[in-house]
Amino acid sequence: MIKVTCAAVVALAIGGGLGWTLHSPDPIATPLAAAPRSAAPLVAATSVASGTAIDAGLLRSVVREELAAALANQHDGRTSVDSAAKIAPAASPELVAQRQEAMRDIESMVNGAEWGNEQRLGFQQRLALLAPDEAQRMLQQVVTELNQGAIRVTTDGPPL
Amino acid sequence: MKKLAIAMSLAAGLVLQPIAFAGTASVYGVTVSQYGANGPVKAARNSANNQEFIGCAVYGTIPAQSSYTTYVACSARDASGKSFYCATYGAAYQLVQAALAVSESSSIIINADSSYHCTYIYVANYSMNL
Repeated sequence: MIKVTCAAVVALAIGGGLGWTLHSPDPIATPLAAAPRSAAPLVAATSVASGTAIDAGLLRSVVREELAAALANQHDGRTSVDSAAKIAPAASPELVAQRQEAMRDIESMVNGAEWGNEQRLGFQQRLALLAPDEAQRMLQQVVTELNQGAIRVTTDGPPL
Repeated sequence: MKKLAIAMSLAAGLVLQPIAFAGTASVYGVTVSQYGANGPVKAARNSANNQEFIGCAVYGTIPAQSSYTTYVACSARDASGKSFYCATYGAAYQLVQAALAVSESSSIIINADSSYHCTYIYVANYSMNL
């Protein structure tokens, strides 16, 4: 009796297993097995896309130009002064005169060999008037001379 | 009797003061080299000497006056009075962001190239710097 029961249980297990396997729509439904099925449309889409007429040479040249422009803008952590200048409004005669005066004032401050609170404030205000290339040049000159000790700092704190 | 109570309160306050500021704290000051500087802001401010400071400034202009642009300037001075300055005109936003992150809890590392353009600003805001 026990043997019959065991045989029945084993037969039931084997039959159930086979039935499940054969009936299942995806006999080995694991994530790894599912991946190719989901990837299939992507492959098809790529095939379609690769079939369209893209000039590889043109694409390479566009990418090359974009990369060169981006690298140029990021050189030394600075953005392009030229690009800043492009969006600047056209300088009126009054603005040109103001810029010339601001340049003279800054040069006078630098040549004065002493950099106090008055110079610090005056420099910031005049720098705003200058064209980007001028402002960059004057800032560079002031910082270099500060570091080299050509200008004596008497500000209450940082000179810039 | 009242004076004794006041004196005892003051003494207790003095004894308990270190407990109120317990925790890891920065003990180093501002260090300056030829093309760089580093140090914590608050420790520089609270240093016993009257020399040390470190920090960064961000400057911006509006189109009516010039053009959309900015510059970042950082300055530092160590206990001996040795100074370091750098500035970058038309600074990349990464530099601007770093400069704007400076606060009293900051420890800063600043590097410049040989023309004193700020090229690297590291800002760490930690409790130990307070």
